[in-house]
Amino acid sequence: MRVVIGQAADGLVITVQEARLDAAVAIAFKDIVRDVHVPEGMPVILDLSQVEFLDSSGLGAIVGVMKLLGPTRPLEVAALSDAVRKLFRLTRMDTVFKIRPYAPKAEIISAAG
Amino acid sequence: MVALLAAEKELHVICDGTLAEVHQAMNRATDFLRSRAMPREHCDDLLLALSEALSNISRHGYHQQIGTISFTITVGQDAIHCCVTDTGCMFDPSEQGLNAPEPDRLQEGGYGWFIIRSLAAQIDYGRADGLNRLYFSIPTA
Repeated sequence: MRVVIGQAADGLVITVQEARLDAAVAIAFKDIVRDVHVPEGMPVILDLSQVEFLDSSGLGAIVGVMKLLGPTRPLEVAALSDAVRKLFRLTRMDTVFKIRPYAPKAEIISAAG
Repeated sequence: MVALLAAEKELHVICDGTLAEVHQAMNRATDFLRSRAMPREHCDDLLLALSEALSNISRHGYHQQIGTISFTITVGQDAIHCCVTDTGCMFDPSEQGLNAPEPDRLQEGGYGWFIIRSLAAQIDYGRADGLNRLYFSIPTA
C-alpha cells in the first residue's frame, strides 16, 4: 500500500498507488492517511486514477478517512474508473462525496507506505 | 493458494481464509475474467460481488477459527456463475442487506450483502455437513 502526497492550488492531493483497494489494504490505507498532516481548512482530494477495483471495505476506509479529517478538511474523490464509480452510485456515496472527473495537477511533497 | 483452470470457462480457487490470501485469490479471478471475451461491466460486477462474499467469510465466518475458502467461477452462456464454500460459522443471509445503509450515516461497513443483492440475479445459500455454500450469478445477456 503506497500513497503519494502532493500540493495543488486548491488542496492536498493524495494519490493511491494501488490497483485494488480492498479489505486486505483498507486498514493500511487508513493508517497511512491518518499520519498525513493536513492543515486546518485545507481540502483533500483523493486521486483514485490508479485504483481499478474498490469494494465496500475500501469504500469504508475512504469514509473513515473523511470522518478523521472532519468538516474543516473536506475530502473529495477524483478520477474514478467505471467500476469504482458504480460502487459509489450503488451505495449512494456519490451523494456524500464531491466527485471530480480528474485530479488537479499537484507538486509532489512526499510518499508514504 | 491453488488455482485450477478447467476447459477455459471455469476457474477453481482454494485459498486460506485470510484477507491477504483473499486479495491474491481475487487477483487470480480478475486475470481469469479479464482474459475472457466479455464486457468489462459483467466482469467488474462478478468481482465486486465475489470480493464482498469472500471478505465477509474472512471477517465473520473465520472470526474465531481458521480455514480455507474454495470458489468456482463458471462463464456460462447468459450468466457468470459463482459458487463459494467455506467451513466457517453458519450465517443467515436472508435478512442481510435488504436495504441500503443510509449514506448520510457515514457507515464504514455493512454494505456487503446489499451490494451482492444489487448485482446478482440469483442467490442461494445453504449449509450442510459443516460447509457453507453460497451460489450467485451475474446476468450477462
